[in-house]
Amino acid sequence: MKTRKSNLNSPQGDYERIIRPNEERMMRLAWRITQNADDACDAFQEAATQIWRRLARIRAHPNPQALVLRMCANAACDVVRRKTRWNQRVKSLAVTASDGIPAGTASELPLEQREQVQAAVARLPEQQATAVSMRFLLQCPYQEIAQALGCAENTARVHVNRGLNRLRILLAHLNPTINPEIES
Amino acid sequence: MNRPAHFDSSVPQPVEILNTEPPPEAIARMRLQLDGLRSRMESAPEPESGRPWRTSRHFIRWTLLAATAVALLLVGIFLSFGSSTALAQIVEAVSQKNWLHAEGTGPNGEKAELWFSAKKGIVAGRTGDSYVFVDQVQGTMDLFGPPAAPDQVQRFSLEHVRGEGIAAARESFLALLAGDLQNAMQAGGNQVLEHNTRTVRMDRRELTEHRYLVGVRGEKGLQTTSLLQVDPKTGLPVTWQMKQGERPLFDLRVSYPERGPLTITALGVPRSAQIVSSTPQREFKQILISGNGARSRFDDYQAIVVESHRVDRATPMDDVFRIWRKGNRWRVDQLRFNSGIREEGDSEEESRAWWLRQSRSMKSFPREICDGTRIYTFEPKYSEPKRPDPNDPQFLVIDQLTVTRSTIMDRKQLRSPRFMLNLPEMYGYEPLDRFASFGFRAEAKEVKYRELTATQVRVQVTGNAQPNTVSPQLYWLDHQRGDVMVRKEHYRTSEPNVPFAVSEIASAKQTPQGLWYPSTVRLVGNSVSLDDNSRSDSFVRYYLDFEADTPDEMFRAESIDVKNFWWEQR
Repeated sequence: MKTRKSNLNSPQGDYERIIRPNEERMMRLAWRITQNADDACDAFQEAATQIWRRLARIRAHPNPQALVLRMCANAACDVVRRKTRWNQRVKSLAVTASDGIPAGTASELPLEQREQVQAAVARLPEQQATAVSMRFLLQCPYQEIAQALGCAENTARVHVNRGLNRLRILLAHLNPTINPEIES
Repeated sequence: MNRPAHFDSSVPQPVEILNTEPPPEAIARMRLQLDGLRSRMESAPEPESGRPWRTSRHFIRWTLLAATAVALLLVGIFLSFGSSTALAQIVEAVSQKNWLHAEGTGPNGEKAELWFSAKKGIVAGRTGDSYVFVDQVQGTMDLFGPPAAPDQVQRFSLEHVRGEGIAAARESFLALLAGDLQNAMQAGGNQVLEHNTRTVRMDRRELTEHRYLVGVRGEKGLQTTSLLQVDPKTGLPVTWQMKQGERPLFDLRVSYPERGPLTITALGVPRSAQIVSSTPQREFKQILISGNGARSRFDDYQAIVVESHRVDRATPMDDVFRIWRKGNRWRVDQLRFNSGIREEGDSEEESRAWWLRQSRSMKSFPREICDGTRIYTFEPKYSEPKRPDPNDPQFLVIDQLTVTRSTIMDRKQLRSPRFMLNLPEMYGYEPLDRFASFGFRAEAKEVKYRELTATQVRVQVTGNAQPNTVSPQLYWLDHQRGDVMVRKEHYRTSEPNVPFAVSEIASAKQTPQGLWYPSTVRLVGNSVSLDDNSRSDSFVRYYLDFEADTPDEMFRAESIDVKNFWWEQR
């Protein structure tokens, strides 16, 4: 009987090496940015397609796992951006949407507030969105964020900080106690 | 210079409101997608280590010749462009086209042709009476022609086909599909040894002629010279000559039609040829891949679909649908059939022509639109109290449409939420894994069904099945006709021995690309008489037109006005 040997250096080993240790974090990141099962799966599908298409580039990256997380974050932010734009457009259409919170949504959160935070994250420039998501949604160390972004660790810190400041400004109306003062 | 800024990490950040855990349902769905990614990553070719397939020596030689012929063409396409960025753009231009068709003469002056579609994962070729058909989606290679039996198509799994040529071509083809041009150009040990260009004039056109010497350095017998004339405006090759030393191999003219063959019979092999499969025992996963491939690659068409109680008659009481399909988009409209009672003639072709012609004078409203990323479902909202339409007294007045939309989870697995019966490709190639989220078990086995050798698939829901859950489901797939489903039986958990829904294909046709689809489906005993509770059959007839072109606006669901929704052919 023909058996398949496990070889981490073969094309078949890519999944075990790059994706397997990252599965939980990828799923968590897609969910946390989108907060909705349908959107998370959409984002995940998009990320999976990108990963497959750019496998050669991912293999050659110094930290493939970090790069894969960055692709997930980008795909999820794209989904949220599209959804925000779509929600604005469908207001003019006579669409009967199902009432209440759609199935699979993180219903324990206040809907308005959650959506505004999501939209604000998606409005950040790509690098800041990735940096903030990886830092605060996955608690990634700065070194990993820097590798994902292809920059120095200090630059990654700057991206996180600028992203946070911008988020505070965008979300100041949600919590008046937050001081939207730019710190740097 | 950027200076790291400071913030108090102990203060909760606004984004942390999103720190929730994904529910099990979302995890299960994402895991399915991870499985898909893993199987794609693991499908990359690995060095052959198993025992090569064995058959007659002549057949091996013939197979290798045929495979090498196609492989040479492929290698010519993919490898001969070298590492030049400008030439890589030609590869890109070719792969953007629906089909590449190269036609001319082969090694011994016989007729030769090649079909290639990166979008559909097909490479097929013919030299003289020998045919090769490689389907990358299904992972199979079909061969037809002497010295094999004249009425047999030999089918091999790509993993079991030996031969450097096809292996190299497959590797480069997969790499190209993955967007990895660099790998595509280096695959199989071939490389561009020489490359030069010049400008030539042909038919009053100025073309860029590329000359390449492709092969393995130091192995003159394995080197081929290609002359490829490319239109500089489109970046697409228009002629192509190949030589091995001084011996001419191919002299081909290249065109880019919208349609090409999706089966070996569409390439010219007689329909009566029996498929003899040397692939391993078919697994359920392969059946899924086959069905998904047929649904997604189905030809573009416009159609009228009639659901009626008699196969030879339609009345205004029956449901008639107008359907458009283009690429991965479709639209289903419900038609107001107001031409009285239609008695069908003897000829199916005559009926088809009548319906397609007559429908032009009938109006319709949208019921489902798939724009490739989302599916919109439209429901009519009748006026209250209900009253007949003064213009069409057989029908009620519709005030407006209500719209719901859903996102397509997996764009490679197209399925209609409401009109699986009405879209012929959905009925013929129904997705069998739609119970994946509930958990299911599927078994496939070869059985005799009437005169056919069919694959019977039994799908059983294993999750929390309720008495009304549709389980088990039985499907009979016609292996000879591209696994089109010829019969379906559905049972409920509460009555596992009495099918509550049975349907079968009464007649079938082939698309121009060679895929089989139902032209009549019989729904067995699905009509119940109000007088005596007796059951009778009803029928669905599909009249397809593959020549009509559908404008893209038809699939723009957002442009539908829910109060002014009628559509009439202009």
